[in-house]
Amino acid sequence: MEKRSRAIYWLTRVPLILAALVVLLPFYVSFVYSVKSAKEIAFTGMAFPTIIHLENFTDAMAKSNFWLAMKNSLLTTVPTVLLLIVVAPMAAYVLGRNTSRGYNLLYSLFMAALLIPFQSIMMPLYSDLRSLGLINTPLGFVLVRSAFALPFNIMVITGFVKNVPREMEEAARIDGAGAARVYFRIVFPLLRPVVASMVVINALDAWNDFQLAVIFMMDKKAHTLPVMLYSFFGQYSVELGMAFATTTLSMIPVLAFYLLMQRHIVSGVMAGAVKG
Amino acid sequence: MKPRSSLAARQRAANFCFLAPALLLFVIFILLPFIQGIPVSLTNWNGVTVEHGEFVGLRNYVNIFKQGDFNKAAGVTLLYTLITVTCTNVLGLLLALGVQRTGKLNNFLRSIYFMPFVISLILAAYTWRYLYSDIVNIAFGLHSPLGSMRYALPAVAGIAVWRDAGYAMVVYLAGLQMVPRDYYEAAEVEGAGAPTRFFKITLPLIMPSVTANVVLTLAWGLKQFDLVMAATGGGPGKATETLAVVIYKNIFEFMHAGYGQAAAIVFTVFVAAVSSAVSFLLRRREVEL
Amino acid sequence: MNKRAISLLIAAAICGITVLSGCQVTTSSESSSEAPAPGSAPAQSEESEASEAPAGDKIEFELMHLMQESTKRAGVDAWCASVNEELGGTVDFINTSLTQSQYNTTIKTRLAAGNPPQMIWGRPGTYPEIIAAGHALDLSDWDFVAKMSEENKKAACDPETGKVYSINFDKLYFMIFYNKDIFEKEGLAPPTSQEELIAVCQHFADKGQYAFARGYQPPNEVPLTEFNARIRWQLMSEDPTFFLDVMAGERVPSSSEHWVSGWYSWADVLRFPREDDMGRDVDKMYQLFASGEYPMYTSGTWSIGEVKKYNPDINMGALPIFSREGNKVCEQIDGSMMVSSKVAGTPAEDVARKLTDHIVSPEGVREWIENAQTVPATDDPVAATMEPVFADIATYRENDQLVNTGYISDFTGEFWTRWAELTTEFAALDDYSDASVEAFIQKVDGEFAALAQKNQ
Repeated sequence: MEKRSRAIYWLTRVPLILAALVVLLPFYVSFVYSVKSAKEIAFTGMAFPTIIHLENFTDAMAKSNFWLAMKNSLLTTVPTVLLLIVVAPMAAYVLGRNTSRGYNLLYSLFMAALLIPFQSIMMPLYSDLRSLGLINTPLGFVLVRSAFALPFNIMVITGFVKNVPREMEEAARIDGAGAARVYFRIVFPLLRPVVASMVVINALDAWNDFQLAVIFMMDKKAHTLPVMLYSFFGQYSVELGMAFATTTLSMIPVLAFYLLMQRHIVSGVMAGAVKG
Repeated sequence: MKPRSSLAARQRAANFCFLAPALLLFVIFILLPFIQGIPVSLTNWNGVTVEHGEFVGLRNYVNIFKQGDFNKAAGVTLLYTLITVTCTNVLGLLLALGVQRTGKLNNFLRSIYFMPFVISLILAAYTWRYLYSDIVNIAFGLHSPLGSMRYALPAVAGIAVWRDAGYAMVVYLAGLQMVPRDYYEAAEVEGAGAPTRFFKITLPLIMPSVTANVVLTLAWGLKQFDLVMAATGGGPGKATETLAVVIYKNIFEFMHAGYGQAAAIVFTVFVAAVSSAVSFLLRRREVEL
Repeated sequence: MNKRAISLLIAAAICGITVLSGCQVTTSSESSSEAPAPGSAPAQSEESEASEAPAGDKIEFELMHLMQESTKRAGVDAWCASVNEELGGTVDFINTSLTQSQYNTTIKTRLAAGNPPQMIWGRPGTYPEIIAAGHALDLSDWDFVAKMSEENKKAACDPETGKVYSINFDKLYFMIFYNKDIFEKEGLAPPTSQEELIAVCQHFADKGQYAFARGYQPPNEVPLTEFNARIRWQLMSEDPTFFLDVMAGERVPSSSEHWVSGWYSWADVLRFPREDDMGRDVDKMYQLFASGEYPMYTSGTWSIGEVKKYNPDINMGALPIFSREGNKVCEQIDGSMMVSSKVAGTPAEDVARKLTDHIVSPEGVREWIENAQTVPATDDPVAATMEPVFADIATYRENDQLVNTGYISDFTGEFWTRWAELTTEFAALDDYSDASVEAFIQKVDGEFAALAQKNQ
């Protein structure tokens, strides 16, 4: 019996491994195009490269403001994540603990915002930011991006908060601790798993964001990586080699970050999403 | 023990302080622009002239339903959403079931399945464009689906599924972990086969994960813009033009900013309605642990 | 815990920079400012990040256009560098290139917010609404206008008021490009008419090969170009208000015999066995032709640099895009830019005047030819020597086969988009029998009639 079930188990691994190969295929495409010269692309297409051309990478980094875009991406992503770490759990805590009508309404309002398509607020938002002087500044992007990420963050964290037992807070309050102390000393540490996973998701969303960046960070000097990347895929001309070299380069920090933070995603996302 | 009134007042003040930053961000950058867009939707502004067009009342809204410009896009969007929501969740669940046990291979596979979620939609679109036209062509001798009127939409949906299945898998993994082992053991003792165990035990108990995933993928599907624009621009013809894309084109390409804005508002209501309905239906089937 | 402290410090530093970035509300520019540099280096548009005088010392001048090809960008950069040298390095030139849809979005958003770029891609024929809204400056009395040819000026004028609104610096020709080596090997003479083209297609079909490399995958306008080129020169000379009349709902498109004949002419070549045309994008088309395995492809002169990028040694020539009605070549103003009306009375106006003067000057023309490798609007004979294809074009000019199709007023807005979609649908048809084409033409009539009615 034991042998049979083990054999079946390994048999089930086969489709899973095939699935993994399919999942990896696009990464292969990106790799192949990034190490071929233009001539090779024309003559050999998708075949595995015989010679590795690193010029695409060096060209991409030299000619395309790669480092500037990288810097801009950092300047926009890190503060967004930090802002959300502070703002979202606080609000989610209040919304999770209080269920009277007013708070429920507020929660529904936040959830409704999940559904607002970007196109409907694009132009007014641009005008507003312009009057605040925030166009083409990382600060403007951070504020808008954080606002957009709030509904999802609040949804997940509120769900998690509902599963945190109240006893510890009540005990602390009886002991005379103020609301701030209760939150920062007791509640926030308990929220760590879900906050950690939100950090990863928020970081990914901000790093990869395109819609906001292309409108609000249009200036060449303010370009983030996704916008810079998009400029390689022109309408009548595509710099394939450079485009995919840059694609590969921009994937690296994201993948590295993801691989480092993996366990947090698995442990956190679900705990909140499940009961949300 | 009832709290004294000053304690309650302090609690309320504290609540307000905690909510304030989030509310501020939300109101200034989301609510306000949305409200500012409403007056525009009542005009016939073309998006270019300096004065924002003349007031035309509800004519734009009437025209949306009378002229049916958005009907095809609505159909495309619903079909797209149907494909992505079902495939993402079914595949996500299957993957989760497949790799739920601990082990080196499973850990490795889990990482790989989640990797696509880490890439931006634009990158995904472009790499898949080349994948479809080069590898699919060479390996299977088929024409790239993105160029066919019939298969372009499923092809684009495929890209979204590739990307989101890993995320769904992660959520389902969590849900699966919360199902107590004893239930399964008890069922096995009673002679229940694997399918029965799945449908009578697993599925009901992971309903919260299902709800969360379905609502999220539903919202993503209905609002889809980036992926479609990068992969096909809405083509060929109008085969992949989702509502978000056609609204965008109305505002920025067709010089119908007022009309497009009205459509955007109707669209928001439409998305909200569908999401709420689905969420409500699913919540009723959740089982408390 | 040391690691934690360090990462906290780094995070704090990054946040600090971000917050500071928002606090710099500068008068002339909205980009985050850098540390002031001792002197101001001449601004090369792309690489001008590092050394910059504090905002206010330099005049910001942005050119926003659709020329994404690296060759053309180099041309624009060369102009900007020369003008900046002339002005003592006081200008901060920004060279922004976008796709059509990005451009549509960005230009609308910025015009609405009141901070448009100083120079905007387009001309009266293609962006009438921008002119009508008063966003473009009237350039009629600027110096460069005197140096423009008559046809060039016609394409730069608003047809109703006769005022000049754009500077046109670049031409394009819609052509069928062919691989001379392949034709020689096959013993074929380059076709000179529709019948001969069909014979060439048949020749390759008989051998089981594909005559054309095509890249029709949306979003691109290759199918639109193919159809447009087959009707444009006829409409230009005999029916110039065609597009306007259709948009106004006064006519259905099939009321024009040229429109109808265009579909049939295109169907003549689409009829032959086809490959995955719909699944390949325009860049793939260039690659395939560059690889030397395809005899022909249909596009325009903007594509030459792209093909050469993939294969600098390819031996290519150019043919007219034939139709049943003749063998003329459509010649059009391609590169054109308007000046934002916000520039009037500011230092930027001075820069704009110098720039436009430079573009039409001999040095400016030379810079353009050397970098962009396309034909400048001034028909400089030097261009013919730089590229065999241009020599072919010069021959067509001598034979009186060129028709300037630039100043016809095109479909705009939704009509243009729908037209692009319909040509793509036509390219995807399974059946090009006469009945099928006729049915398609009827369908198009219905669509445009409905569109016109909607816009009443």
